Amino acid sequence: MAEALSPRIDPVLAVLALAGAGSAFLVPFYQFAPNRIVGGTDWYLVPASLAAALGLLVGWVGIGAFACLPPSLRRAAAARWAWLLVPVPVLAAVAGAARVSWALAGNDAVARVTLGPGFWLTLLGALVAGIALPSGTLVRALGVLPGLGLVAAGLARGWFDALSLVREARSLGSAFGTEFARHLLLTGGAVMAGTVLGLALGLAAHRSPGWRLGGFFTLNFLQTVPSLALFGLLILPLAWLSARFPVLRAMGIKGIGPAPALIALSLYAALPIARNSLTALDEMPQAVLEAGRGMGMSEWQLGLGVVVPLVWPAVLAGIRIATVQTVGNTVVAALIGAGGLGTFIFQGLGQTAMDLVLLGTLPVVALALAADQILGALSRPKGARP
Amino acid sequence: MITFEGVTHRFGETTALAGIDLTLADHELCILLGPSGSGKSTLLRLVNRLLEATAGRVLVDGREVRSYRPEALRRTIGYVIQNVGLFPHWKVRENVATVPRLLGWEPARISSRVEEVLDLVGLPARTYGGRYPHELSGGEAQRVGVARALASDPPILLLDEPFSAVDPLGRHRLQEEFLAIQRRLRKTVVFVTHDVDEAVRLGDRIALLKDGHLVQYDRTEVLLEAPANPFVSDFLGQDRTLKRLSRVPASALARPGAPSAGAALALAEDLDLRLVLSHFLESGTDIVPLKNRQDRITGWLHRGDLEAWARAGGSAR
Repeated sequence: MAEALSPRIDPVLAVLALAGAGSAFLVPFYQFAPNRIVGGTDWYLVPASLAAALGLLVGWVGIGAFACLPPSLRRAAAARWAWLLVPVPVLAAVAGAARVSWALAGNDAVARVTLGPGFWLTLLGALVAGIALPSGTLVRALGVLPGLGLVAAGLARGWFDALSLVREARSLGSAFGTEFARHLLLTGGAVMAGTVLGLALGLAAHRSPGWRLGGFFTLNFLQTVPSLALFGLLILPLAWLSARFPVLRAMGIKGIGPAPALIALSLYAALPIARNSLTALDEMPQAVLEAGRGMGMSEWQLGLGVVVPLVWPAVLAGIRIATVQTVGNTVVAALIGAGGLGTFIFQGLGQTAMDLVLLGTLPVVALALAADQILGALSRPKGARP
Repeated sequence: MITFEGVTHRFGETTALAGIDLTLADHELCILLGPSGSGKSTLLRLVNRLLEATAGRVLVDGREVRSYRPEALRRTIGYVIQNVGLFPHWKVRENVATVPRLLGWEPARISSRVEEVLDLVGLPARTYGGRYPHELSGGEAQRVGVARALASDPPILLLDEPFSAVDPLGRHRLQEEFLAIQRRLRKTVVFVTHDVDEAVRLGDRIALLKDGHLVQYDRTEVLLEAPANPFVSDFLGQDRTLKRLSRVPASALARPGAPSAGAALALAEDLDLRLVLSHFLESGTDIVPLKNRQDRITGWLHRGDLEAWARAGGSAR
């Protein structure tokens, strides 16, 4: 019965594999532009790099073959190793980029290769395939980390120097690293402050109906205020405080810059954490607490040994949501001078330099994905829910 | 020995207990029985100080419970509640080890004790020790609850409607098993229930409460034979005689005799008199042979003896 219900061929993977393999011939992977301003001419993968096209085909055909396996085999434990096929087309597309970059190297300091739709579609397809294929944390790490290492090594050795992305990064110099670190710092700081705030509010709301109403009304209301508006609203009071109290000024707190950004981002981050911790606390079975007390646990032993472990998975899930959300929100903070990767995005938008926009966007996407994966792996429960 | 001296407890305006005087003897199973709101759970929770008496004294072995640190007191008293309250993130083994760990026992001693009590409640540690609470049935979870309360071998056991969330069949089995355990361990047990049948089946003594007052406290047989007032007889029900019969095994009224009938017709000698009566009514006979566990005829039970016992007020026991 189960066999009859589950489709013989996995439709998602099969379609992906067909489209992916076809893209080698049908969609331009790279574009060649003589300088930053002029539009480029398209390059297809097949004449550009036969080796890369072969790699791409191997990856997608492999995934297609997996999609055609009998369902029972696809569900077997060993099937998760098929996930190692996912990075293959991506690495092939990257290798192709290195190949075309190399062809251009030394030719001309302003001519550049832009990554085209085929390249991005390959990334997107691999992302979907990575979700659709069975996997485990170990397999994913094995599949992704060596590839990332290879790309990093290639960047260091100049394999991708003629790529417009790399050209833009080079022209930014050390600014890229600075803003990247700034982005991490803002996100990390906001999530930490939001966690403290969210936990405190969750606990207060669990204990008192007043906090439940008032606290959540405030946070819910703030959530409806667009982040840019909230940043703007904070400028005035902070500027006033900074002018009034020299101590604050000395600490670098001003109407614009990191201070209002951190405050607003922390408030946004607090909501999912507060909501999740409140739900978890509310759902704590009373019998468990009574049994613990009745057996002679102190309030500390009960709190640390029972309440925290039972509430923790939900809190961690809240932190995960808050982190992914904050990585994106931090982009907007660049508009009030807080820095971060948003700086490049808005610069690029101003100059209609899409590669500069991409240079800001790609690390944000990567950071969000990485945070999601890492926190997700941490929050896997021990199989023990009431 | 647990003693309540003029114990009163108030929740705000409402008086849950009004001047209770009660002494519970060691090694006996005492039932606190009463309708909901009678104060029986409140009385129980005064013993391990989950609640404090508004007035009066609660003593354990002659010492006031107020003089103990609550945590220290509770670690010496086993506690089982209706909703079990197993820790969902701990395996059965860890749940049972809770109090020994709080008491700082050696790990080796803890693990051997855990196996011992799990065996006692019929859940071998090899099979059940590694399970999480959500992998247990309701009856199994409550067995673990009992094992957890027994783990540190406390002299006193408090049970607050422990079996009332279990289905009737499972409840009956749990009661039988608990009775068997109690016969071996002879703890001082305080057992709260609103179920008269459960009270009659388990209790050495029953304290019947109503609206925070102690209405009657006696041995179970006495309570059934001589209810102190109409409330007691109403609460115990019209079938008090049958309930009395249910507490006595057939062997108590057996007459010795030669085995002339086959063992096939015989009833088990540990069957209670209520079921023997039912057998007489169904079969229309007046006499029945009794057999022991080995299917040997051990004697005879006459219907007349049973009826006489029921009328006389059960002095045969």
